[in-house]
This record gives sequence, structure tokens and C-alpha cells, in this order.
Amino acid sequence: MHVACILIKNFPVRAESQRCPKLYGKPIIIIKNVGSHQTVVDCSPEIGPITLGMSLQEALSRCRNAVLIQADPRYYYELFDSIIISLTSISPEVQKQKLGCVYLNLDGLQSIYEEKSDLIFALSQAIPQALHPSIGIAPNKFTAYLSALLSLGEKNIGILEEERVGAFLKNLSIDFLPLPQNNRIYLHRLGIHRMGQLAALNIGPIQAQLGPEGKTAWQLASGMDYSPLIPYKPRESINEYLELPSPTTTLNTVLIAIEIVLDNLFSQPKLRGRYIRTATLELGVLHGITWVRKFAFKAPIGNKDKMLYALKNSLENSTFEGPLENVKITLSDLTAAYGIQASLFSDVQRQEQLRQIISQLHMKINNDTAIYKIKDIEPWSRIPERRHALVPLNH
Amino acid sequence: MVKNTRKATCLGPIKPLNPPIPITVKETEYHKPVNIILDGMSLEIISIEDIWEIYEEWWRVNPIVRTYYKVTTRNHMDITVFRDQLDGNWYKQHAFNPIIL
Repeated sequence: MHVACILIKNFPVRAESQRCPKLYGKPIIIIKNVGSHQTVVDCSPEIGPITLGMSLQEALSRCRNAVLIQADPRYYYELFDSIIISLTSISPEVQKQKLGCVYLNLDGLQSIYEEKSDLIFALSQAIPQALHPSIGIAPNKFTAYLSALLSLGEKNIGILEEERVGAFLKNLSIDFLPLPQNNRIYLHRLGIHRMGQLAALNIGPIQAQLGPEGKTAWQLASGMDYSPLIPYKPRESINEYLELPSPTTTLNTVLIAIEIVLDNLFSQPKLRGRYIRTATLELGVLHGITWVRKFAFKAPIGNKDKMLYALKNSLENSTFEGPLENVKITLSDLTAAYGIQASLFSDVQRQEQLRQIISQLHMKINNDTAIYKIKDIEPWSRIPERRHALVPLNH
Repeated sequence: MVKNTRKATCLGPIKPLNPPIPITVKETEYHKPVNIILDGMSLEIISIEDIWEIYEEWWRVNPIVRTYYKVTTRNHMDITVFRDQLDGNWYKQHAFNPIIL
């Protein structure tokens, strides 16, 4: 098997630079709020010894003139997903490893890209160059990752043939292996600093000392990576975006905007006859982080009114950091044709309507208040309180 | 045979409908109501429209023995009250089917 690894180091920083080109070349620290503290999510590589999770005060003490940016995970993952979708046009098997790291299975592409240079050109064209991707091509995922990380060749491209894998890994530090910290320290104490030294040992004692992780580390150090490439399965989704005429703090305006967006979505041919299991509501906050709420429906919803009701209920008790300036709704997990068997009998139809109303009331009240119905117990009884009782209505 | 779960028996989520509500009633020496205190108001009874008695569950230690009075008050309100013949307390209760909206 031949695998390509596309690695975009410091993805959040690169994404922000791509979004705002004037940040290019400036030292950037991306922060997020953790309770009452702010911690570092990512930083420009040129800044120096700043570790992820470090407090903002400590990070600023090491680089006072850094530009501080609040993390926007929604934007980073959206950009990353768009890159993956464009890579699926090159290879059908694309694995999303983590933010900024993708694997592609290159087997069978020789008939399309006869020369490796053609393949590399296609890969680099699929990714915005402002993100400075590194590409590594090797016989397996681990060596492809290292090849991209260390980028032995020009233009951040590393190609590793099978016969050169041993020599490539021999002098690399064991710190590149996926081992827990304590195991790594243990190996260093034993004088095993390089992968070549680890691969030269027998697998038995390594596995006995370090367990399954030790076995995996030995195999990787020996150039063997048996982990499968798990292809990314794109989720079918449809979205619609609306910019408000001016930032607003009025909930009614936002609800009208949501209704317009839902109207547009449900009028699209793609949704005809189909039902939705998941909806994501994103409200852009002026100068702030987008408010995002995801809804998973127990029963798939196929009409605008029910969905509007669900979205409205969640907004009524929500607070926002600032005025709202745009609305985006993404509908995903679309089902095939779905229907609920209705009854011909009016009694059953009435009961079904009542059940739906009660279900909506429960959602609105948002607690487990029981709703009761009057049931005849002993209607013939001479004792009035024995004739009827209130019984919970299970919906 | 059903195993005894040893849980205390109870009605569970079933709630009674139209339970008797204790009230204060002034009565004559023959235990007829003349005045009802309802919601802090003292209501004089101007007529008794109907009287009936029930004597149920006689096999129990505390049978149900009540005398019902359907009365009209001075402000033209129709109320049904009963006197528990065992403890002498008065209660208000709809004697017929409760109004179901």
C-alpha cells in the first residue's frame, strides 16, 4: 500500500491567516476561555517555547507583541472539511486523522497519475497554499506522517520508498512514537533514544515491559504499521445562510430570519420527500464567537413548522454575547423517504394529535410535569371520590 | 404465584379526582347546616334543596357514613356538603360527576 499524508502544522493559526491576510507574518496566539482563565490553543511556530494549554499571561510574557485571537473551532473544522472533500476528488479513501492531518490511500491511482509529480501537483492544488501544507508519501501511515512532518524534500514534500524506510527511521528519536510519557522516559533511561535501537531489540521483552503500546511502538520503529486507513464518509447535508440587514438583539427578528432560512431549505429539491434527523443552528455574534447549537430529533422531521418550533424553544432560554448578525442552518442526516402510518379512524387521529401537542408542551415546559386524563374507576359508586381518578397520560 | 416485592402498596401516580375538602359549618342541634365558612367568607344557608345518606363499606373498621346536603347560600351559590357521621366533621364535595371541560 502507498499512503500520502497531508500535514498542515499549526492549523488554527494558518486558518486565521488565510481568513485575514493582514495577519500573515505576525506572531499569533490563539486562545480560548476555560472557566475564568484563558489558555493557549495554538501559536505561530516562530514565537518560541509556548506550549498548548499554557495560560495567556505566561504566553504573553514570552511574546509581548503577539496578536491575540479568540479560537473559532467551527471555522477551523469547516475549512478542514472542505479540504477533505476536495481531496476525495483525488482518492476515494481519505482518512481524517485530526485537525490538520489527513491520510490518503494512493493504491490504484497509478493509472490516473502516471508520474508521482502529477499526483503531488494534484494534491497541492487541492489545498490552499496559504495553509503551507506538507506532503509525505510512504508505504504506510506512520512513515508517511513522519515524512510530511520532517519534509525531507523541497517545497515541504517528502517521498519515501520502501527500501529506504529502515534507514529513514533508524536515527529518528523515539519521541516520535505514540508512547505514553512515562514509557518514553523509561526507554530514555535505558539508553534507548533512537528508533533503530528499539527496532534492534526483540519484540518479546519490549511487549513484556511496555505492554501492547510497546509492541505497537516496536512495530512502528521497524517500519511496520498495520493500522488500517479508515475512509471518511461524508455526511449528506444542506445548508442555508442569511445575513441580517443590521446586527440585532431582538429575538423576534432572529426568529423571522430563521423562518426565512427554513423556508429556503425546505423548498430545495434535495429535501423533497426526505426527513431530517439533525439540525445545526449557527448565529453569528458581532465581534464575537458564533453561537452554535446542534439538535438531534428523536423522530425525523419533514416539515418546516415542527423544526421551527424546536429551534424557537431552545432560543427562548438562551443568552448571547452580543448582537446577532447572521443565521446559518445546516440540515444533515437526511433520511430516505420516511412516513408515519396515519389512521383512517378519526378517534385514532385525534389521539395522535393530542400526543403531539403533549410532546410539544413537554418540550416547551422543559420538565417532567405529568399530564393527566380522567379515567372512570367505579362510575356507579355512591362515594363520589371513587368514581373517577386522574391517570398520567403517557405519550 | 406473584412474588411479594415487599414494597409498600400505594396508588402510584394515580391521583384522586373530586376528593372531599374540609370546611367549617355552623350546624343546629339536629346537625343541619345553617352557615358555611368558605374562602374566608361566611355564607348563610337559605335553603336545603336535597338530603341523602350513604352507608358504604360497612365491613371495614372505618365504614363510610355520610349525610349529604345540597344547599343554596344567600349569594345564590349551590354547594353540596356532607357531614361525616363518625367524626362529625364537615366537607365540601361535588356529589355528581365533576365538570369535565
